[in-house]
This record gives sequence, C-alpha cells and structure tokens, in this order.
Amino acid sequence: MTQPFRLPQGGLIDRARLIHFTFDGAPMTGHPGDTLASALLACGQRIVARSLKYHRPRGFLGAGLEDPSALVTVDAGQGRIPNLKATEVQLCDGMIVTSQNNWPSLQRDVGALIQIAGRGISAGFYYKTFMWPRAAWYRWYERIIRAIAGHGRIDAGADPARHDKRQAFCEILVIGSGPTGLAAALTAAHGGATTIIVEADFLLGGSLLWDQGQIEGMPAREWAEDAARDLATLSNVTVMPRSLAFGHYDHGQVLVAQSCDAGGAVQSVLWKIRARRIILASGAVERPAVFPGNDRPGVMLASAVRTYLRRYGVAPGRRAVIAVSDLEERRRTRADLEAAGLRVVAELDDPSRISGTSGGLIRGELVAVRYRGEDGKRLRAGADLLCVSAGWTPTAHLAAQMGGHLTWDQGANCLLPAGATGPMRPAGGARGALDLAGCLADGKALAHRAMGELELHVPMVVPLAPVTPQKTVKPGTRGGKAFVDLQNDVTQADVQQAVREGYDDVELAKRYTTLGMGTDQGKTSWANGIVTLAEALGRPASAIGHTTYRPPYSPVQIGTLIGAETGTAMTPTRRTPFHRVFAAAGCVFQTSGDWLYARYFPLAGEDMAEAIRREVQAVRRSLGCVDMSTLGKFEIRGPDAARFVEELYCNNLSTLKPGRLRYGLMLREDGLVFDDGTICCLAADHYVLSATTTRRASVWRHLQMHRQLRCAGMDLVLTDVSEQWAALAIAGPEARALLRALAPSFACESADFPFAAIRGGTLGGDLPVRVLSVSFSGELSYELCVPAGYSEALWERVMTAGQAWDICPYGLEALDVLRIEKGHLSVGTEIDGRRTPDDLGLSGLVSTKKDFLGRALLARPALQADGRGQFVGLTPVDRATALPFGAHLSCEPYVAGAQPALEGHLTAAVVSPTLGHPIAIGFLRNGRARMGERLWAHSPLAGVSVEVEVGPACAFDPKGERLHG
Amino acid sequence: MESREGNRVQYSGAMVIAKALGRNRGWRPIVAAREPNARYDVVVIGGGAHGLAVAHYLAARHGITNVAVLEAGWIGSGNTARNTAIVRSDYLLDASFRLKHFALGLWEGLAQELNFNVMYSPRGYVDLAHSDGELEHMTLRANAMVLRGAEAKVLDRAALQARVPCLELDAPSRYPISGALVQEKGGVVRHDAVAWGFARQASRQGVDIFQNCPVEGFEIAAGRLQAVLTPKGRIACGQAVISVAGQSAVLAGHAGFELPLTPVNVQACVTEPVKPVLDCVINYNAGLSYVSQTDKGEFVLGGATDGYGSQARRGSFARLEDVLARAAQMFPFLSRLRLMRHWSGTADMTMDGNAIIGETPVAGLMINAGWGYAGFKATPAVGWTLAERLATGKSPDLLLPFALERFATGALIDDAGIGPYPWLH
Amino acid sequence: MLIPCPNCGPRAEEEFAFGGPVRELPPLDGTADAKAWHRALHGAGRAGGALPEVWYHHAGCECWVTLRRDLASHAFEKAPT
Repeated sequence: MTQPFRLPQGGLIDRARLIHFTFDGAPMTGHPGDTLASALLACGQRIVARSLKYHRPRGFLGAGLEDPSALVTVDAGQGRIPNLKATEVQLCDGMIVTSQNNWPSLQRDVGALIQIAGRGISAGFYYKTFMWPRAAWYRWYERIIRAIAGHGRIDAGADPARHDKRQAFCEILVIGSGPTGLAAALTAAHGGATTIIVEADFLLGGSLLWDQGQIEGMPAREWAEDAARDLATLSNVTVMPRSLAFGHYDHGQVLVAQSCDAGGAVQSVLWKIRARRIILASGAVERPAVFPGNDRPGVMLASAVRTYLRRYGVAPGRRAVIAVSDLEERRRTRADLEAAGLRVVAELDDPSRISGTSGGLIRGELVAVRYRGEDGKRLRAGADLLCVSAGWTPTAHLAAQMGGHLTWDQGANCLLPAGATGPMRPAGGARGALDLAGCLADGKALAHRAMGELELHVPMVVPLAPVTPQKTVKPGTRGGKAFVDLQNDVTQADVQQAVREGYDDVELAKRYTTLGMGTDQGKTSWANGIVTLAEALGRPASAIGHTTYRPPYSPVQIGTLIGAETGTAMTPTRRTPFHRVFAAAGCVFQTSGDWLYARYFPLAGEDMAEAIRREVQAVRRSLGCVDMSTLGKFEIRGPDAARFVEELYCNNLSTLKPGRLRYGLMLREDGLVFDDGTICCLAADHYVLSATTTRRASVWRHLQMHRQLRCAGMDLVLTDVSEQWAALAIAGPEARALLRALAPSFACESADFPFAAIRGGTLGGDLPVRVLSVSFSGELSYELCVPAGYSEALWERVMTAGQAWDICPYGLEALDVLRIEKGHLSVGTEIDGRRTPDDLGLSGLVSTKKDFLGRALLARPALQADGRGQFVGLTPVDRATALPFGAHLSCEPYVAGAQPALEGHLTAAVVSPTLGHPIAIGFLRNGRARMGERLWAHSPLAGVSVEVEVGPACAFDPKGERLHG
Repeated sequence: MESREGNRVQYSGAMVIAKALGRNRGWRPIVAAREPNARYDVVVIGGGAHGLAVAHYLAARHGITNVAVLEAGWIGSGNTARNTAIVRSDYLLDASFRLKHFALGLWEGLAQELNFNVMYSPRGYVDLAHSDGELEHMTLRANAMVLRGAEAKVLDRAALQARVPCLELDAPSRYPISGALVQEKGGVVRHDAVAWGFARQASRQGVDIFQNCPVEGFEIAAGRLQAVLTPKGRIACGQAVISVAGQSAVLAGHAGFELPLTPVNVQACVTEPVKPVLDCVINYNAGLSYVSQTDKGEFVLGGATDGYGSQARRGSFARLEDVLARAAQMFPFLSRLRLMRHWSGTADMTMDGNAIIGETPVAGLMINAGWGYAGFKATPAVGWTLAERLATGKSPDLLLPFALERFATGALIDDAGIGPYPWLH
Repeated sequence: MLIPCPNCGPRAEEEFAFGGPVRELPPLDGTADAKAWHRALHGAGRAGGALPEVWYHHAGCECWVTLRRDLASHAFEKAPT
C-alpha cells in the first residue's frame, strides 16, 4: 500500500487523493496525475513484463508511448485489454492490472529456460529447421510455437464500451503540445486561423512538463500552463488532450483517437480531421544505447528518469549511473537526480563505454554497471538505475506515412523529414531542432508560414531554427546480449547475422530479424537498427534508408476504429414501403444486400416449405400478391429518349408503341449480359426502365455514364424515380377479377388491356396508379404501381378486395419457385456476368438492325463459339428423386473419387408444387441441341447422383397461355 | 566464389547448432553476389515470389541455369511482402481452380524442396455464406472442387460453430451467417520466406539474382526481344519474362504494348499479438473481410480493393473501417484488440479479374501479370508452368486459358462475373 | 482522398464511385467492329503519371466528372490548397 519510491514533494500529481489498483493481485496505490507506470514505480514494482522471445524480465525503458517493453493487461471495468503500455495508461481507481507472457508467475517464469538454447535460436532459425518429417511443421512444431508466442490474452466477450466517430475541419492542425506545438498553436490562434491542437497526453505541455528551462522569464512548466489557459479562451481554437493523431492520409486528413472520461456516453471518439495545413510538432524520442544487458529493469532513458522525477515525483531508483552522450542533457540529468536526493555513482559521456550490467540473482533487475573508465580501466559501479541516452530521434512518422522519405543527416545523426509532405510541415523536435529556444521559434515560424500560404496574412519570411547537431554513438560490441529491439528481443548479433546471410537491405533485415515489428513499431529501436546495419555493412548510415512508416503511429483500439457501426447497425437496412403491413401480416423477412425482403408469410404452425408450397399453389390456382418495390425505376423524357434507350438495350425497340412495354436485355460494353428488366414506353418521348434490385445502383450509374459521357448532345432528362413508387404485383388466374374489383379508371378486360401493356389512372376513383401487365410468375399478372406514400392504401384495398379469391401474399421464396417453373432468369444465378444473350436462350431478342452497347464485342469468336453452356431445364428421369442443389452434370454415373468430364451445372432446383415432381434449371454445354438426352447430376457433397433428362428451361405452360388469363 | 560455396549449406537443426557453436559467424548470403553476364538464356524481370519461382523451376526442372533475376528493389519487396499469405483453391471456374489447386499440391512439399521452412500451414479456409442462396452457390463450388479431385465441404451453422468455436453466430447481426464452405487444405504460408526460399535455392543452382536493378527499357529488333536495359548495363537474353505485378503496365509500356489492366490498392492490417484463439483462415463475404491469426499471435486482416486506380501503396481509411467492422461481426472480441499496423499493395487487376500469362506482342518476351490479389497462392504453380513454357516453347495446358489474347477472342475467365471494370473486381 | 468536384467543390472520396480511366469508345453507329472496341476498351493499361479518369459523384451532383490524377501520389491536377 505504501509508495516507497514516491518523492516527498514535487510532481504534477494530486497527493491529497489516493487511487487504488492491483498489479498481479497485489494492492497498490497512486495519485491522480499518475500513469500506471509512474504508480507502479512509486510502489517499487520495477519488473512488470517478460519479453517476447527470451522471457527476460523487463521494466520501464521510457515514460511514454515510446516504451517498448512494459506491456500489461488492464481491466478498467470494461473487460481486459491486453498489451497496453503501462506508460500510456492514465491511472484510474479500481484498475486490475496483470502481467503477461509468463508462467507460473512474473518473478519465476519457466519460459525463461528458453535462453538455454542460446545462439541456436538466433535470427531466422525457424526458417532452417522444423522441416522434418514433412507435414510435421503444421502438426507439431507450429502448434508449440503458437502456444508459446503472443503477448497477452484476449477476453472472449464483446467490448461493452461504446465508441463514436466525428468529423472536424480546420485551417491549421497542430499535432503535439510541447514547446513547438504550443508556440505554433498560439501563433495560429492569435493570427485568426481556425486551429485544432491535439495532444496524446492528458496534460498539455510535452517536454515542458518535466524539462528544466525558462520561457519569457518564467519556468517552462508555468509557461505551458499559461499557454494552455490562453488557448482555452479563444473561440477559434479547439484543444484536444488525450487525443492521439495516429494516421496521416491523402489531402490533409489526419485521424485522431480521443479517449473520453470514464462514465461518459462513449469511451472513445475517432476524429477525422481535415486541415489545410498541419504542423507536426510531435517532438523527438530519446535513443537508447546498445550494450550487453541493456534490457535490464533499471536501465532507463535519461528523459524518462527526469519525467518520473519531475512530473510524477517518483524516484526510479536510489543509486544512479548516468551514460548520456549530450553534455547539456547529462548536466540536467545529474541536476534532477541530485535535486531529488538520488546518488549519482558514475557519469559517462558515451554509453558505448558500458561493457555490461549485472542483475539481481532472483529477479534480474539492475544491481551494477560495468564500464570502461577514461583511462580504459574496467570499472564496476553498484547502481539500481542507469540513465542512458544516445541522442534523439525526431518523431516524423506522420510525415513519412504519406510517402515523405526521411534522410539520415550525418551532423544530426538521425533521420530527418523533408520540409513538407503535402500540407504537413514538421516543426521543432520532429525536424531535428531539439533545444527549447529552437522549438519555440520553429513552431512560431511554421505557423506564420502556413498562414501566409493560406493567405490568412501576408507571406512573412520567418527563419526556421537550425537542426541540432548530435554526437555519434557506436553500439557496444562486447559479448552478451545487446538488444537493438527490446520488444521483439532482437540483438545486435541477430542484425549482424542477418547481414551475413544476405538480408542486408533494411527491409529484409527487419523481416528476417523482426526488428521494429513489435507493437511499439520500433520507436526506440530503429535508429540503433540503422546504425548497427551500417556498421555491419561498412556503409554510412545515410546509405541504409529506412523501412516504410505505416499507420497507426501507436496502436489504436479496434473498437475505436469501428465506432458505433456494429451489430445490426453496421450498415443501413433498407425496408420497402410495404414493410410495416407485411410485418403485421406475420411476414418472415430476409436480408439480401441492402434490403430486408419478404421471404414468406407463414400461417400458424406452418414451416417454411409448407408456406412456400401454399403460396405457389395460390398463385397458380387463384391469386397472390408480391412486393416489387425494390426494382429500380428510371424515367427518360425528351425528344431523344427513344434513341437513348435503343443504344442501351440489345432489343429491337422501334416497334415498341406508347402504352406498351417489353422485356429488355442490357449488355455491358464487352457484350455480356448486364441486367434484364422492362422497358415501358409511356409516350414517344417518355420511357420508364426497370432494373433488378441487385443491379439497381450499377444500372443507374451505367445510364448516367452513357447519358453524360457518350450522349451529352442528346435532348433528354434522366431521373431515378425508384423511391417514388411502391409496387405490388397481383398474380394468378383471378388477377383480372381483382383488378376489376379495384375499380380502375380504365378498361381492364383482356381485349382492352392485353399482356405487355401499360395503363394509368386511378383505382376506386381516388388512388393514383400505373398498372403494367407483366409477369414473372407466368400467370396473368398486373404490377400495380402507386406513389410510395400510398403503399398501405393499396395493400388495404388489394387485401380487402382479394378476400373473394383468397388472396395470398407471397415472398421471395415462392417468387423463386414460380420463376424456376417458368425458366425465367434471375440476376446472380443465371445472369452471372459470364453469359451472352444466346447462352440464356435469348438470341432472338438481339437486334441485327441497329447498333447498341455491347454489339461489337459480343461478336468476338469465343462468345459465338460452339460448346458454350446453354440454359436448359432438367427433370429426374424417374420424375421422383429430388435434384440436389449445386449439382454438376456429366454423362456418366458418379463414381466416388473419379473426375468426370463436366458438361454443365444446375443453377436452381426445386420440387415443383405445380408439376408435382422435382425440376431444375441450369447450363449445359450445347444444351439446346441435346433435348431429351439423359445425363447425371452429381452432388458429391450430398452423396447424390441423379439421372436427369434435358428439356426446355420452361417446365410449365411452355406456350405461355396463362399469361393472358 | 566464396559466397556460392557457402550457399551449398544444407539447412537443418544440426546445422543451426553447428553454426551457433561458431557464434553464428559461419553463415553465408542466401543469394550469391556477382556481376551480370553479358548474355542470359532467360532474364526474369521481377524478383518477387513469382519471378524467383520461375527461376528456381527453370534450374531445377529444366537444367537451365544461365538465368538472371532482375529486381528493382529487394527480393520479395512487392506484393510478396504485402499480401495476407492465404493459400486456397476454392474456385468454381475450371481454369482458375486448376492452376491454384496445382499450386496447393506444390505448397505441401515446398519446404523440403527448397530446404527452407516456408511454413505451409493447412489450417483450413472457411468462406462464410450469408443466406441460403449463397450457401447453395457454395455447394456448387464445393461440388466442382470435389469433382475435380479436391477436398471441400459445406457446413451448416451448427457444424460451423463446432469448426470455429470463437465465431459469433448468435448475436444480432446485419448479415447473419448461414453456413460456410471449408477447404481444410487451405491455409497460410509465411510469405517472405517464399521469396527467400526460392531465391536461395535458385542461387544455389547457379541463377544470378540482382537487387536494386530495375529494367529501364527493352532492345527489340524486328519484333523480337534482344536485350533488357538496366543500370548495370545492357543484358542480352534469349527470352525474358515480365513478372512485376503493380508495375506491369509500366514495363509493358517500355516494350511498346498495352495490357488490359488497372493498378488498384489492396489493404491489409495487423493487430497486436495475443495468445492463440483462431486456428483457421476465415472470410466474411458481405463486404469482404478475411482474418487469420499468425504464429506470433497477431490477427491479420484484409479486404477488397479500394475501388479506384492507384499505385500509391497506401490506401483510404474508409476501406479499413469496413474490414474491421466486418471482422468484429465475426469476432466481437477483436474490438478490444488494438490495430498495430496497416499497409497496402498495388494489385494489377485485369478486365476479367484473372491473370495474364504467356506470350506478348514481342517475340521472346513473356508476361505474368494481372494477378490482382490472387497471386500469392498461385506462386509455385506459376513458377512451374511458366518455367516449362520458357524451357520447352510450349504452354502447359494449365496456362493456355490465361493467354493475353483472350480479351480479343472473348474467352474470359471472370470468376466474379464483374466485367471489364478492374477496380470493381 | 478529397476529390475536387468541379460542381460541388472538394468532397470526401466516399461520395464518389470510380469509373476508370477515360476511354475513347467508338460511336454506336454500326461502323466499329470488335477489333476497334477491343482496342478502345482493353487498351487502357496505364503507365503512371497524371491521367484523366472519370468519377461519379453519387452523393453530390450525380455527375460523371473527368479529373486528372497522379496514381502514385493521388494528387489531382487542380488540387485544393
């Protein structure tokens, strides 16, 4: 419960309040203002994790997002989230924190025995072994490796937390709120630009929160507080703390993950911010040093040590060795340590002088540092804290994500970004200007430049700060494991071996050794990786290049990225105008694409098959009705309407008279069938086309493209009226009787209203309607189209008047059975994007007298060749055995294991309620010439092979007499 | 040639231990470093897995070793490095199925053939259906596979739940799942290792592999290829093959012909690693999202193309949101995990969505392009058949349907039936 | 991407459908044969640089607009500043 390493004073924490949490079951405390890492350290918990490969004990190397190894599982009341960096978690009351990747416990982890294998498990060893006997990889080796690998465990349940998404727009987006970011935001804000400043931390200030220094005569930290207050008062500024800018996308889009207060409506918000200029003030990450034993708990970045001391009031140890390459930082580190009462036992100007570290016998945490003295003598200093720094690496990830290449600068000894990547401008530490004055100047200068570019004020020539030179620090070379990447346990020897084996490109080395491929994305490892590679290759670091930077900058919870669009709300659900009345009628709906369709209308106690049979029989014997509202309806008006329609359909339409409609086939440019539907000619200059539900959006795009890009000169207006109409088809021998009973304003006897005609008027004197005599079921049928708002009135009248003939609403399933009996085509099954009109038995529709879209390429030889699959019907020879769906056709009975020559396949198979026996439709090679031939339909999956006879696709009423009633 | 000597090393557990005892200093480069010859029998343009496989099979099956592979970047730096490593052969159309199924047979023995553990892991490919109609169509596909000698099955919901216990089938969902097609021999292969394994084995047999060596032009006389032009100079060749995925149109342009394709972005992403939960590859079809878990514990996810032409090798975040939302429908626990990295590759998509393999208008110049996002799984089959074509002058039956001329004749292989709109495939 | 619609101004890519590179298709007057169409439809393999493409602004003006865009950088020729 005590916090033995909490300093008596200092830090931006609220000492008056205690926060309770547990770590591996042990109760611990911290204060508001703590991160999980600072609280753990205050409680003396220096080892928090085991490493991925060698299971070595790991503590905290850093104090922020850059930390590679302090991965823990956190349950803050919403289930366990694995792999969180303790350094990025804001401490909350009641947090249950557990360590990962160890058994039986963090202190005594059996997995660490793997280190006995030593150099045998060096880089890429798994590519050279585990190959014998054949298939053993999957059966044995891989299973063992899978069980060992991985970091934390995932809770099986869903995430109860809610997440949301928002859009934002601004003129200037500032990423980061250190000295550079604050200076930039203040300048932009006071200059009148709409400004957003995002900061990943819960406090604004960045390095100002822990670094020494004076700005405008006051301590840096106070200046930061002042600046934050100033920004908060300005109406043109949005300040977003706890908001991680993680990705930079095309044309000024930055994605930001914002964590929200516990207990709020949502746990996080994904912001999509579009900015005209982006100032990348993300600072720099300190570079650790490579020397044997550099991964021990107690080895820490100097900046992290200073952060724990000054921001959190925590002593990360008692006796410290300083190994910092930069003079000024060395001085500040010593000052901070001594001010906090820690003993500095040694101070080295070059971390490569360290030859090794010693660890405690049981826990392995740092107890001593071995190093070479000024005179080359071997020395040893007892210490539990080693503050290291080999310089700084600019955080230019977001600039590099958009393809901005970074170049290694010899003077600055690090990768530097280009001046601009699209609208993004790296500033301050992110472009290598590391000192406080430089950062402030840079932020201000780049904000001024951005405003000049945006013409918010006159362009100003403001000089940028110079890039700060940094010393070269060579990686150590003595024996023992010297880690380049702490998270993935990649050592200097691994990198050297990769080079020896020819994996010498930076990308190959990364992939072969897994360097930088961990959840920290190599924030602390890549600079040393490049230097190590350069040394092994004997080339300058500038010749090495770098791997591609990919979003997210730091891992982001997938729940945040998905937002609220989960479960049934994943995509919008479309319902037809009849949905409400159908639901009241007990309809079972089915999801198909965007839509919820009526599938069938069961009576009490009826199953699906029974309901379908009843619905089909009702249509064949008397009367049914079905929703056709989802079809696309496109209106074309104007003097050139007919010419336009002629170009789009392969049919001859010159004989189509006003008041009549025709079945039409639309081809793609390449001559294959795209869609089918009706072409209604209302007047010589007025057409309505229908499109199938599936192709509705693409047909509309196709019409628009043809109209706008190829027929721009035509005089016509194209309108999508699909939403304006509700359509209910009434079908069955009694359809005309019903239409008559609905009291249309037009004559409806067969002579007055023949098949394929259109009538407009009213029903019952008041309900406006357009009626098409068109049939998908093969029965006498009328499609009653009313303005969508009248759908329920139409339903009401149809159902009331239809009672006389026992009208039966039917759904998709019965519709499908009816059309299979008739051999009608369906988009997606027969019209599958690979068929010519002739394949579908519709070559008669193709006009030879005109040009149309698809004509030329339809003439290609393979589309006209002998041997193509043709649409046919199939019946079991015994008229009894059900035909399996998904079956293929061949000339021979099926023999298990054989590979018969396939002649075609079934596209649909049903037991026809009308005919009383099974039927199927499908494609058969040269099928139309094989009527009466006997073949076998095989479904090895169903274990069935049925002898079938080839017939016409239309199995019922082949002459189409029923259409006319 | 010190390095070529070193290349003879046979990988094994014993060898790894022996080298470890020598502090791992005895390893030699997998690819011999050499200066190019003035002339090669075959020049393979593109050192991705496909190109390297061609080189390997030329040497291994046909004894043709005077072969150079020219790679503009580093070996395997294109789509080999960017795909989601899935292998399967669950195709309905005969030509599509046969080539990929032949590949599946080769994947099984590839680690032994190459003496390089490419980690073929037949953990099963599960393709989800979202309606009874889709399940029927999957049955058609599965039957086709079985009737052509493959293994496949179709599972109903109960059997699917037993096969993939962590799959969410009961929660209210926008696109309920009705069943699945399963190919148990489908699975994943360690993608980078495929390039390295083929490269090493090709090099051991005498093939020269040059990295950072882009082809900048062709020397063509009387319609016949004479040489390729590179920063390393003019390299004369008997035959050459272009196998450069997203750069195909550029190389074809150098040779003076056009290809019926558009480069598009395909995105993929990976989560932080966690202990194993998912032991198969699974595909959500209502808006594409395919998911598997790597040996390291990361979930790898991929989706459809971005839907527009691109060679930027980075994609739009909107597509990724779709992929993640669908993955979380299958596995709601994924929403707790964190996305670690997302990337994209340039897929060269043709106007029927299938590859173009074989002759070009330039005599002596072959093409292997247009693989879209289906290329990885076909790797060894492409190498095998194309090597045979180059060595014998005769296209194996497996390759014939993939000829470039099919767009002129209309003998298309359009698995999805989408038509001449590459960005929609 | 932010697509500069000439009618609506810069809009998010989600509002658009891509229609491919501009293709000069033969007129529908019965004169062009399969060869001409084959060349026009299939000969659109692109070799980088900024090329004209068509986009359909379905969530905006419903116009097919022609824009030049660099495939490698996604930069539109008349990009918003």
